[in-house]
Amino acid sequence: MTVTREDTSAVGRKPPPARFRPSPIGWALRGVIWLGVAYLVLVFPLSRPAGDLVSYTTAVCYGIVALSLNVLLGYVGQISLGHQAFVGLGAFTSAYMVTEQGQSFWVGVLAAAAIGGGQALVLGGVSLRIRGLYFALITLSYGLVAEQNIFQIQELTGGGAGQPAPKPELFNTEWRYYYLCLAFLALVLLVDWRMMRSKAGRSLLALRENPRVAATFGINVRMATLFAFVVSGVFAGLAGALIAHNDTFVSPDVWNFNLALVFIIMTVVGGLRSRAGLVIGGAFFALMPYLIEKIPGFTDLLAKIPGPQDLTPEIAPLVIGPLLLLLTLIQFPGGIGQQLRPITRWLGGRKFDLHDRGLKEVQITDVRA
Amino acid sequence: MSVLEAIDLSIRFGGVQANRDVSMAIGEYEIVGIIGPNGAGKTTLFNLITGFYPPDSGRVKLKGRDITDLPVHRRAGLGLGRTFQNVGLVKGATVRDNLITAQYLQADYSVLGGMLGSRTSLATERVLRSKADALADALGLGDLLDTQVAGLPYGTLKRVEIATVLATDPEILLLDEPSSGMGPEEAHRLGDTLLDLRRDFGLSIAMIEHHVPLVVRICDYVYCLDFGELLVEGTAEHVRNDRQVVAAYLGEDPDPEVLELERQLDSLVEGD
Repeated sequence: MTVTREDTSAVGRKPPPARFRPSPIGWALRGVIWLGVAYLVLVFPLSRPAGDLVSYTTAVCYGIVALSLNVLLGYVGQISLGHQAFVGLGAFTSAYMVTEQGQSFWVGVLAAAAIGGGQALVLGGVSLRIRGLYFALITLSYGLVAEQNIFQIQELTGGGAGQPAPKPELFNTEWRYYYLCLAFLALVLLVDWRMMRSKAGRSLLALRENPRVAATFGINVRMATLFAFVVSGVFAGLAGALIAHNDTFVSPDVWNFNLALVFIIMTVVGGLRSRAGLVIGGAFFALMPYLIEKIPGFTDLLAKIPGPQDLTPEIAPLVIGPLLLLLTLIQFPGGIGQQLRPITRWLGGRKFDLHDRGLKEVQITDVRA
Repeated sequence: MSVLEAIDLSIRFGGVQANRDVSMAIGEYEIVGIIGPNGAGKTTLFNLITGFYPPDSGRVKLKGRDITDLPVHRRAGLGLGRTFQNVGLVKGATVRDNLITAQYLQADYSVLGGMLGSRTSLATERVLRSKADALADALGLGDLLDTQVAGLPYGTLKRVEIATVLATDPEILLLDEPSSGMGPEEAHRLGDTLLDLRRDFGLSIAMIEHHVPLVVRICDYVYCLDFGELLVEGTAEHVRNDRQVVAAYLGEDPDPEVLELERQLDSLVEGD
């Protein structure tokens, strides 16, 4: 066989370098960290009051939202500025099924996921002929239409009054519901992981980078993009349903453009194509108002700032978020996920390498409209 | 019988007739060379054959079947593989991932099965992976399997690209300047590789190539394009000694306007 100058060693294949195996102490250290994370996620919430649990559950649901947006933004490189409508419609669908139709919570969640995927199919089927900025504009318009029309339909959303969304019977305490949402997050993570390890995910990565090359591999670029949009919609609908039953009430006025912005910022700051980063990013933005309230005296300080409205910690994501976004885009395009990568790799049994930025490093050009 | 036929293909970009009534045919197990000065419309011809541009007139036939109206990805499924002038690879992925991605159509499991990790999908993935490794070995790329594509030397990229196209399981290979970025020796070895591949994979090959010694050595038949039109065709020896071909290469300069337009078009499609 022929050999080029660059790969003179190709005659006999080099034996692969011995894989790094941590020492027993190394494993013990990793185990301690794993236990710490498990404690924080699984045990710590047990000791908190019910009110806090609602915040934690929201954090888990925002993790799913970030994973949903990542399918579009991270894997196919398209941006959705109307994701709050996807999540919101999921929330209303589930609340409507349970409250108005008397169905069980599980039917409501399934319906929300189906409606989430269905609206993505319709919207994407029409609009994914175009890409980039103009696709973003269509999703933006869809978000506004949903906000001002769909969410005002009396039968679906209960009008201005909102729609009650009771918790399921088995999971009717805040604590139990928190674990249920964690299970759903784990499911979404699992599906996302398998997707990226199978042909569907690979085709998305290929077409994001070079649609022409993807087409010569036999990938139907438009169908694959539409598929990603539908997957994103299903995740979003699911997250919406979980958020609805967490709040036990869905109000039409929270699903506005502000929320769409927070969703996008938390996804990019969390780190595109990094599952750990996305979950942390989503949780961080969901918990931001909660954490700020914990700062002693800060809420009083906010209230003293003169303005037409009283400032509340609720707006924190829209103040701190853009600053973090700026920092991400300029300094760390891979977001929190990129910063954590040496640690997550180490936890997975690899050698600790501070400079390990990974093969699929996010470039600033990835984060584009 | 020809496996691939282009019949009177024409396309016009604005004021430039990029291809005018170009006809060519590739016989089974043939290696066909396409030469011509820059801006002659060689890559445009490939883009018409593979379906990136719809022709203004003319037909494309694959094994007797008219494929003129099929989209790019369907043509790929019928055994038409191509490489790109500026390397068609997923640069952010490893060589192995590229080789596995390229086997998209051989990944014979449902998308949903793949997402849920079905038994079939996992078994198929293992097959794809070992096929990727085998292909890399066959092209002397075995050591680079876990290396990211971006950052590899240009000549190596061209070889990786050929391996990737082979992974799509083609019958006909369209190679756009496979030897660019290679020195004379390397180009010579590329010639050996292509002859081997034709034998081992039963390929018919059409290649756009500037490196004349390579063309003369391995091509059974050569087409020369100039200003979007077929100038001369025949055996390599015949074409090389043709007075018109020599004039096209050495005589008048190519129209700078055509060059510029083709460049702009290329960048437009790239940015798509």
